[in-house]
Amino acid sequence: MLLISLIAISLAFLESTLIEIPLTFVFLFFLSLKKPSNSTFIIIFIIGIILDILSLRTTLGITSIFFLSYFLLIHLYQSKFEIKGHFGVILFTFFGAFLYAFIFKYDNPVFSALLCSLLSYILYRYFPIKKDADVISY
Amino acid sequence: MSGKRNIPALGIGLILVSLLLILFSSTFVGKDLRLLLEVLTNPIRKFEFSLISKIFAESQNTAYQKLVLENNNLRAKLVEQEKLVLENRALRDQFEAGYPPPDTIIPASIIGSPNFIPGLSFPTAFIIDKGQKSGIAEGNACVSGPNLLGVVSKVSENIAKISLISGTIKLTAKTVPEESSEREAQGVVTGEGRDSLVFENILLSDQLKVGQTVVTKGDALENGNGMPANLIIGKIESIDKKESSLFQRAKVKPLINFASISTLFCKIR
Repeated sequence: MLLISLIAISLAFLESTLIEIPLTFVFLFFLSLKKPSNSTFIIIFIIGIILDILSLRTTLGITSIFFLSYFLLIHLYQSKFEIKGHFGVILFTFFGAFLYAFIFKYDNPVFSALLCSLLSYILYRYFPIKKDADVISY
Repeated sequence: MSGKRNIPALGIGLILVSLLLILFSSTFVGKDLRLLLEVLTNPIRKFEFSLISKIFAESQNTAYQKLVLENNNLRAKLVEQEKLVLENRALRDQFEAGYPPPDTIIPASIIGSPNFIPGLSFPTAFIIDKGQKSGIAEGNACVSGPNLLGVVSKVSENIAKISLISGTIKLTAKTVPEESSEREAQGVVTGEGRDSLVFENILLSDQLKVGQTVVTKGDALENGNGMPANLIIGKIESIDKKESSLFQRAKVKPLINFASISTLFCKIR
């Protein structure tokens, strides 16, 4: 978990300093699908706060709310929508990245979302997500 | 497994904490927390950015960078030179014209043109970089060569506003007879906010011709300020003469392009 946290923090720094693309969102979304656990969601919350500070957003907590709401909804309905399949991962990454880039006023939200979808496909290829039979859904 | 069952509860709990954070972020507690977090993260940001910048800098050709820098410097010098050339040309043209006399005018640069958008609107006023300190007074004429541009409408210590003849100022004017037998026609010139002026209140008995030059009649005051005579306003473009009217009028086109002027001359005495 320490390594994952370090990677997430590095991506947050990269996103706020150099490349205005929702890299952190892609990584955390993939993480929430690959390793859904309490610690994952706590990491998501903290990274959201860090991203708010690094991106100089006036309201602390807004990125965390976005991440948590989106990932929680995905977690609750993943079995209904077959999200853990490669198509589901790409589609929901695209949608989430677009929404994120649009809300937080990144340049070219469509291009950013397409790039994020590509990154999530690459992640899925090398770290496939097992479709968990006993995932709890509401 | 129980970890996974708790996820929705934990998620909702964390969302509530985030909401509280949003509410508190505008208070002094939130600002202090933000300040603390910024102080902690800024050194890491600085280090990361300098590291990436170094990597990029080393990968670029330094000779190329020097050329780019030199090119930018030369461009700036070119712009400065163009400005000097234009100023020089304006000065030379003014002194060649000989009127108004060179010792009664000073050059001024245009530093603003309110509400003028090239291609969309027409300039009706200029702001210049000279004011009372340089001897400019309200009502003084401003020229470019022998052509009248406008009148000083407002003046402060270092800046003045010139209302152009294309605006709404009124001037007494007269035509320049082309033959000795002709009589000059007198009237009032008013701007229309565009590139043509109206020459009106001209007696029906006065003869106007298309192409005739219209000049200022002159309203100089005892102290030497005011409008000098015989400054060129423009040429008659069309004539509107109705026998049933008391007066006739004409459209006058100025001889200069207001939008292209960068230096003008103001009368000081």
